[in-house]
Amino acid sequence: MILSSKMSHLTAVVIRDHLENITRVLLQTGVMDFLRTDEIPALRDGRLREISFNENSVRLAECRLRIETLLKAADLRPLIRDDVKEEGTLSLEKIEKMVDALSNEQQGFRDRQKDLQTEINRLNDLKRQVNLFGDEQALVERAQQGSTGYSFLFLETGSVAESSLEELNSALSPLTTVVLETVTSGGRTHCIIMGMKRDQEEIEKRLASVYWEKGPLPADAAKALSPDPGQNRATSDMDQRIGELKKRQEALREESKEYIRGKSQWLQDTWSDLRIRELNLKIQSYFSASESCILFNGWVPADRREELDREIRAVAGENCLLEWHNTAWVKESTEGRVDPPVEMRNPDALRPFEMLVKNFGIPAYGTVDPTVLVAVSYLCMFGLMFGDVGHGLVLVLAGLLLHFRARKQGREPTSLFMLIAYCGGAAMAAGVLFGSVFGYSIFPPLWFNYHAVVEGHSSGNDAIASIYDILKITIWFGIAVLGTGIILNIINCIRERDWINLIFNKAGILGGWMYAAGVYTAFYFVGTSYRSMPPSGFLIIGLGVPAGLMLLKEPAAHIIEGHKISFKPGALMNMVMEWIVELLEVFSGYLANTLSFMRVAGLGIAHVSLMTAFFQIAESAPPVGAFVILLLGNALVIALEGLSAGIQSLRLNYYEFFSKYFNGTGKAYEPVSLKSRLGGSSES
Amino acid sequence: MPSALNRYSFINAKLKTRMDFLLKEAFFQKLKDRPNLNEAMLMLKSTPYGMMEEVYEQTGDLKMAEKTLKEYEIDSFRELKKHCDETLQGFLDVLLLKYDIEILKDWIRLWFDLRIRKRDVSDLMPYMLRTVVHTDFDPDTLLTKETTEQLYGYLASCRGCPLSDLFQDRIEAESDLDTLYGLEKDLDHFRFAKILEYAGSFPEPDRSLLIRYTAMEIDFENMLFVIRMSPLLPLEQLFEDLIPGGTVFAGTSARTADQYLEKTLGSYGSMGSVLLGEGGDPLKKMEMLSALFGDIEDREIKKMLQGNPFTLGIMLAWFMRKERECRRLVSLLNAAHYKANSMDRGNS
Repeated sequence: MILSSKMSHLTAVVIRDHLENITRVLLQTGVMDFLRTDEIPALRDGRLREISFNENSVRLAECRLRIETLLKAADLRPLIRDDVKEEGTLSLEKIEKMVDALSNEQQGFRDRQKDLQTEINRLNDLKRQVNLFGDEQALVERAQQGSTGYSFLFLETGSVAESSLEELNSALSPLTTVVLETVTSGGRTHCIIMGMKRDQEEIEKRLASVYWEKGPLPADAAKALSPDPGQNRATSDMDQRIGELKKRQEALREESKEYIRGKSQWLQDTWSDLRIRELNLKIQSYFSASESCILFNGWVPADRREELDREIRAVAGENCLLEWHNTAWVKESTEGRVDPPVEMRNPDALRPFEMLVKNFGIPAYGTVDPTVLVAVSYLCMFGLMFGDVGHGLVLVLAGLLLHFRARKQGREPTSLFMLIAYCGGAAMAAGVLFGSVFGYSIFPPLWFNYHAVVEGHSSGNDAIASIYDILKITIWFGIAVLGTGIILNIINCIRERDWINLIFNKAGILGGWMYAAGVYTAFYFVGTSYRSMPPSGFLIIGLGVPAGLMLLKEPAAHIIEGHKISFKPGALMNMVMEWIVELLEVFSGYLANTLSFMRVAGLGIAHVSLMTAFFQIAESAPPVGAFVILLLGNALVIALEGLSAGIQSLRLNYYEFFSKYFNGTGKAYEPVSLKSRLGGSSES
Repeated sequence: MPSALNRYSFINAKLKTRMDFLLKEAFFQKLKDRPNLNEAMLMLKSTPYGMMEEVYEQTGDLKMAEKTLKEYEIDSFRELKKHCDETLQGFLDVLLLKYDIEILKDWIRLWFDLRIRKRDVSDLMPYMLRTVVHTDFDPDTLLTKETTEQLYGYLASCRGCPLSDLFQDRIEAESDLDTLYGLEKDLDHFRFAKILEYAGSFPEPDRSLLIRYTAMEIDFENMLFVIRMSPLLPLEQLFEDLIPGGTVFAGTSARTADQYLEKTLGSYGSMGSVLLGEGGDPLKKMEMLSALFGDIEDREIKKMLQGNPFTLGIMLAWFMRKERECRRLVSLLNAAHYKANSMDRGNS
């Protein structure tokens, strides 16, 4: 956990007949981070060629992308199969044809929706024209005048035999028309016909087929017409028809989704199959081959070495040659050009903090993986800045809600959600220590009452009497963090056999020595009310000696690297200048780094002060107003302070803690496995 | 007057962030490869253009989706106003004039088809934009106007219409609309004149930046105009009708349309001969010109983004990129639509 996985290097030669089986084993085990044969000089051989493939990875990716798109249309997501044993038998051509067919079917649904939309558009247009007239009576007046004012609106009044009314409606229904009935007299029903002018010829033909008689409406027809524009039957009829058409569109949309859902099994299986084929091609792209053998090499975590060895031998039997090397062999044979990849092996619970580390950089191979330490320091800092049970609980709930909602939607939740929940947990724990729930002191604090200190009252703990004591706590906390950083740097230097930096680095033995002495000196000075410094003997040994020894950095480096030391005035001057600059950096750097942790107290005080301010505003408001003010105040504090505390904790980790020891030049371990991300995904 | 830092720090930071969310080239390449419109639309689902997919999924109608995009485009520019000071708000208004004029032009074209050419325009009506940018006019009322004079009178009286004077002048000149050419030309000239006029409100270096950007746009419009109209108009009138304010003044030295194109492109360090190599096909020429100008624009955008971050450059770059993105999206979706249709015809 503190150190990344130890890596082993495998070089394998296998008889070509086992190509497919070996590929399958490598994918199923998913532990090999491949290297190209060219990268290891000892493996280069002019007779080796790249493998030519039967399948085209671009076409595979394209086809997979299309399936993803189709699944997306039905709100489905492709699921990753976790075994490679069952392989699809369909050729890529056949799959492409099937996908084409499905896609065309989908397009067919859309085309039918488009037809309905055309009708909706026409009805909407007709409705807009009709609305311009206002009420039904105005409509009739216009119709009888024979002019609509719009050249694309057709209006006509007349009558049809009562018995033919239904026939009239069905004859006109395929066209965008509205039939407005008025009165029936003498066995004939008088109506107004509305439609689009471009359909006029067709409408007239259909009217003639039901023996429509054009003519003005009888005088009593006016009674059947409403003068209220809101009661216009024409528009309500059109609204109803538009509503029905929209329902049919919606039904088609659902049908199209259902259609894909019906094929989802095939789509999911084929998607998995294509993905596996792509991964196989990716693995094989690392292979070099002669006529009879294939050769590949790469990194495997040492504790998975046996498993992979066994699996390869199980399929290739005697027809393989597996050579395992340690990292030193690779380093030597590539003259340090190829570094082993870094697998940060942390429990799932620490993933959010691993994310924070990776965001800064991958630790160099063999150095300390600081994930656990980051988890502890980050949460401590956050808790000190945001200590409140209620506020913490909100964050925990928000984080968990986001996490489980993503899961429910079939997405892989981002580590950020769990980080929010963890921060909430830290805030709750700190809230218990400070006895604070949404700014109220509901229970006695386990440590001290933060609100009371900020407001100038007794904290309930004799050791914490004022804000200065809180600042002191954070300074001690900073010293602990920086001290840990120095220890980690010393460990890293020993592991990497970097003796010069172990001794002379700012965060090495001499740097640590000076920092410890500096801390003692500073507290001694403050402890004597800024009157006296520690004894001169201590100052000489604690600060003078290591400072003097640092002058030897340059000559020591020269000796270790086998160079001659130059005693020319220029070189000596250079050495002294570098020494002075380095000393300045040590003193000013450590002072700034340590004081930087006072922001933890600053943010904590701001958190409490903001809550106090909202309480004071609420006191002067009526009960309902006070409730709203406190509600909004808490929301603001959670959002604003939560964000600030999160950012400041990150900043302190990155710039004060990591700068002491972290070497982020590592390369992440990325084996080709069923979990590998592939290009071309619509998500990417 | 606010300092450049005050004026631009917030809005430019916002726009730079938004620029990071513009669609990447790889996305457009994938979109181009979609075999039909439905698949192309589905690709938009998880992008800022998801609303187009929503509309298409509901209606199956590409034109409806395009209409939604246009509304979104206008809104996305209009929304910026709330982050700007008065001068920048005014500038955004001037830039939005483009959309105001576009909408107005579309409705006037429709009116022209309906009243002058006596055509049925009902099929086009649902796809017409009714968004009010500046000119608050009622399209249905506009369409009821019987004569050119009534039309101009109505438009001149509309609230917020920045073109009132232009329409009033046309009434006074008793100019009838026998073609739309003259009116559309005047509208375009008006737009660019307004932008150049507004440049005076800015201090340096914003003023120069805006003038250079506008000149570039004018040159592009002029070149398109020359390609489109050179077979139809006498050379003298062709050059006379160019929008003033471009980098090259055609009348001064160019003797042919091709010479003008070559000179203008040459002024941007681009190979005009490539364009002329397309022969006499105006469509191909315009396509090639758009591609060449795309490169020129890219170069200009890069310069703007690499320069002083507290200038108008970021806003101009954002406009160019966003507008181009929308245009490209529409053309690729249409291509996917026609690709599928032509494949259908091929199969049947």
